[in-house]
Amino acid sequence: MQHAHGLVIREYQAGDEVAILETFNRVFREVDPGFVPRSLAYWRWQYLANPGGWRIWLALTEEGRVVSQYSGVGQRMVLEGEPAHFSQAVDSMSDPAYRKGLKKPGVFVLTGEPYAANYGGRLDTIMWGLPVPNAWRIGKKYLGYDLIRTQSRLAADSRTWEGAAAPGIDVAETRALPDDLDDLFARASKPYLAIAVRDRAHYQWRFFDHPEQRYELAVARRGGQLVGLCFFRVGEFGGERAGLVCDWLTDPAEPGAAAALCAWLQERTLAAGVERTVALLPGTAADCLPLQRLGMRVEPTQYFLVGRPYKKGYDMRWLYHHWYYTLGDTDLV
Amino acid sequence: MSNFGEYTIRPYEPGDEHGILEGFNLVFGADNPRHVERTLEEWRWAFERHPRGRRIMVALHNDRIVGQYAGIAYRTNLMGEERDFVHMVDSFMVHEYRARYKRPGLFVHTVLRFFEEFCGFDKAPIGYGVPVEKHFRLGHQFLGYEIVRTHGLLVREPSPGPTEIPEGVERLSRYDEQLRWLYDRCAGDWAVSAFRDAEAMNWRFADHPRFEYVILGVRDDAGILRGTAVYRTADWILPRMGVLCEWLVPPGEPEVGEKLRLAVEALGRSEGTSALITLIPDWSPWFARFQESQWRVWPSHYFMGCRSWHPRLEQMWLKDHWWYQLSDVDLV
Repeated sequence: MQHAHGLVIREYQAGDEVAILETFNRVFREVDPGFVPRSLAYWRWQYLANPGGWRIWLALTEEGRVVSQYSGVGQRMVLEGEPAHFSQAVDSMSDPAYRKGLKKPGVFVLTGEPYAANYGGRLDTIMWGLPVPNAWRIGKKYLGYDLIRTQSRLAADSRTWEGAAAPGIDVAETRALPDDLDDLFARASKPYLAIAVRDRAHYQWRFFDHPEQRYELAVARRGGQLVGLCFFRVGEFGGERAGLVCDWLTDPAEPGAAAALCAWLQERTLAAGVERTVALLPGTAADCLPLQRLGMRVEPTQYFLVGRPYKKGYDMRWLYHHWYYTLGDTDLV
Repeated sequence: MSNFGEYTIRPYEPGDEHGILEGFNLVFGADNPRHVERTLEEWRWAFERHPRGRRIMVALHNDRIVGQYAGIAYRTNLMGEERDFVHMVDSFMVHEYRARYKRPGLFVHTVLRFFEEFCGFDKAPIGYGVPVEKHFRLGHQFLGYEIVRTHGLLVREPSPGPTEIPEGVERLSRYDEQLRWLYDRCAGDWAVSAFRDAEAMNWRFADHPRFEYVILGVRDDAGILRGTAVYRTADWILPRMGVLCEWLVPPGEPEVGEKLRLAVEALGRSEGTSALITLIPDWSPWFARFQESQWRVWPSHYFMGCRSWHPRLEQMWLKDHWWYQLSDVDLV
């Protein structure tokens, strides 16, 4: 525990979530008229139930009021074949009333620095996020943020989809996670030197246990073997309501898996009453070109991916080339 | 002039070009087995005949030029104001001098003198380039380099079709004053862009001492230039690529763009290219339209890097507002 500017700076302790949400909901309501207050159930799911763990540092008044938070969602990773952790910085905030009272670098940095000092290296190899411009400027100046990628998205509609045959591959919707999920992950993760673990614990938490959203899962099989899967829901992304590809995992040796799952996505999007299907993958992902050939188009987004490395050898350019992620790795869906 | 013991850092002086070329060819020849010797004629084109003059800082050991940091100024339309953006090119430090003056080394001191001399809010507010990753890491650590945009490149794989340039598209030998008229019709959509006029683009393409570019144009019935594209064949990412270096067509005139795109694709077929390739900012309507015509976005290791001396020209703002293409850099 540290003290600075009359504030207590410390890691999250059980029960802090009530005070965190009081400030969080007040701060974001003031800047976003359409803001929906964060529920305690959502908070507990996001942080406490996450198999990748939570990362939270707080600045509190002596009375226990949260005036700043720097927080992250842990991710279990496979990094060059070895287990590792990344954390995605989300929900960071500072109370405007206290922001004004402190000189630079300000209250946001008061919690960002111990976050890095306590989790960086010891637990996490990389901290990353999709910051808003103001957080980016502060993070760049005071917290070591660097740009990884200006983020594009893939989008398709009924005009652009190009039906491609996928003989021998069956796609089925299911609410049960496949038993052979780990086998698919082992094959699908091969092209990437950095990828978040996609196992039963992760998918159960990320999609099926989500307290507010319902996701659909489609699995593609050839001869009974799992060759691809896709999580989907309808939602807002980049100012439009679209069918969102929330996770995408295919066997690189099975090009028909992408075609079969795209056919399902096209049907599912239309059935949901929205026009476009949208996915977010790194441009370096092995499926980016096949998805374009199946009718998806590359479009700009407002998002840019930034990170801070905590270990040598994993700078932002390395991540640019080697890291696979999807919308489901972020808190955008 | 700055002195560091036996080393001197100073701006270019007449006659330096011989020592610069010697050092350049030595360094780039050692780093790249495919390096083609830079000639004095090419140097004079780049740094003497360039419409906006030269910007060169050299590092000398005794009288030998052992390092250079150089830039080519592009006259830039910055929200209606005329400014120079400097494209950083040809920087080198002879190997045995790279470790002199550790952290930062002699090279960084040379760059800092360059910045002091040529860059700043009231001088060139932006220095930019498409650096190799090793140079970017150094520049990011010591010189304030940042990434403006990571790039996918638009690629058209070989396809059957005509090999003749379509009717209505002509080959131009040089640009005239109509290019500026065309640029003015396009630039309204861009907050930042290098001026495209006859002086700049004839220097860049028609007068290039090594490469032969094909300059294509579409005119209306009154003979007015409605759009232009510049193409050349190059061993770049793949051998024998058809490179669309420049594309200047008002987005509101898709029929002009269609003719030019078909002409470029026909040129590519007629020359048996491995693929066609270009770079267009992803916010441009042309980025989407090329994809509608079977061009696909391929990943690349290229990114636009810059150093800004202007508080408003922050990297994410530039990402969304700066129109540039392959013609604005020295890759092709």
